[in-house]
Amino acid sequence: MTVSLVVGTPKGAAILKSKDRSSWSEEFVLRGWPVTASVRDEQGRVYVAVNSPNYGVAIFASDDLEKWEQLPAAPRYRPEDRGNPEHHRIVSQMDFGGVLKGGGRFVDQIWTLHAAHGALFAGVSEAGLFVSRDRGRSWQPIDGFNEHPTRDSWVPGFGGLGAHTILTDAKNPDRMWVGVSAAGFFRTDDGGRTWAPKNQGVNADTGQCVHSVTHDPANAQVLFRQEHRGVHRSDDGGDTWTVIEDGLPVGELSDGHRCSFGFSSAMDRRTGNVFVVPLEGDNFRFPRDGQLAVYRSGDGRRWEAKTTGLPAKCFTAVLRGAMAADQLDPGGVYFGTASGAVFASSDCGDSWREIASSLPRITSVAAYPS
Amino acid sequence: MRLPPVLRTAMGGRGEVAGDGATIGEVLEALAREHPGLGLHLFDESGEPRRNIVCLHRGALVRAREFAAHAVAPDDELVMTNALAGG
Repeated sequence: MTVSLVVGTPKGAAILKSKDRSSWSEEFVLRGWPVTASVRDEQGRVYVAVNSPNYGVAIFASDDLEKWEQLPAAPRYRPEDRGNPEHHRIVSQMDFGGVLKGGGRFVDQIWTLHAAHGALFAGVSEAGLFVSRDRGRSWQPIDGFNEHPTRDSWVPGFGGLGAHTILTDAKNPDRMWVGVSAAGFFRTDDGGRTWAPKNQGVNADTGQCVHSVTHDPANAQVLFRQEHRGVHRSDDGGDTWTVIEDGLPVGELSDGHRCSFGFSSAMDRRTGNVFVVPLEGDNFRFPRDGQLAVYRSGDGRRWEAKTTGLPAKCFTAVLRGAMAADQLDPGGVYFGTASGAVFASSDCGDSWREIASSLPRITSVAAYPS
Repeated sequence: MRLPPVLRTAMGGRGEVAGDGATIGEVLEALAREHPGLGLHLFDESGEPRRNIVCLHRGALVRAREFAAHAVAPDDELVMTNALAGG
């Protein structure tokens, strides 16, 4: 069983390959391009999203992870689409060449790519959703989401107003979920025409800062949500949520609320195990006392820390897109840190090993078995 | 037009491309028509040249806002680079 990892960084993508999940080769591709997301479609083609403060957003594709071709199109808003001033203020600190005169809406980053039901989906910032039905050669906005009636009240998070999570239902092509920082979690049941906020039961003060959500598309009613304000579970497709933090380290947020803060989450679908990497609150954003730990839940309610092979003095973060599972047997789980290390487990989280180091800040990890 | 290294990746490794036009703006539009992927990097959603792009022409630095009016002649060489800030 070969596993390939696409590890996104601000300076390109590391391609890590292994035939035994023990010995790994490493190449560094798309040099000079910030790589923000990756997905593999149902035919096996891998897509990688890039952005640049100078040259904007694009998508590269490869059938072998060696030769990369830039696609002729990428998600783009219409010139008349009105932008969010606060999002403009946040991204203009990066001096994006794409910051539009007159406050127009523009795509400064593709946060996530998703493949399902023969289509590709892209979640972008400024927050929006696009679909391609021709393997990325053209992209159409999903206006039901992008022009949502509540859009004027959407509040950007620390990294801007971004649609970073897309989930789909394997049995129902009309149902889909999108997570937006910091506007919350939305679901459509009519193929994208209308979207309902799905945040009932999630602890919130101002806005809904969903950080990541994971699930099994074949059992799509059950969702696990790492929110700014804690870890939650839904058994009804997102209609209602309950806190599940038994066994997780609970810390104090800057406003005094106590919960298990973090960004990333992943699931081993074969066993149903869920993984999160808690961080010590929003003021610190590193593992408690520096002990890097992955927390695993087998029943989706109680958690146990897994630290074997992980460093005890680790004062960095694991970002929202930087954890993935390979869905093999036994399950392989992988994550990258903001300090450029990649850790791998080939025993469903029981033990870990560093398989790459000295990379730039890791913003995304995708795992492709073959 | 000589491309900066990062854009050569978008052109399959090609470092130079040719485009027709009487101004830098027209040359860029011709390049975008012929190479849509490259065009994504040259023009933003409003259709304006990305403002961090700069061209060197006959030793002079030409900024994005000047592209539309800056005349070029057949066989002129343009060097595309990007505006730099800080060290």
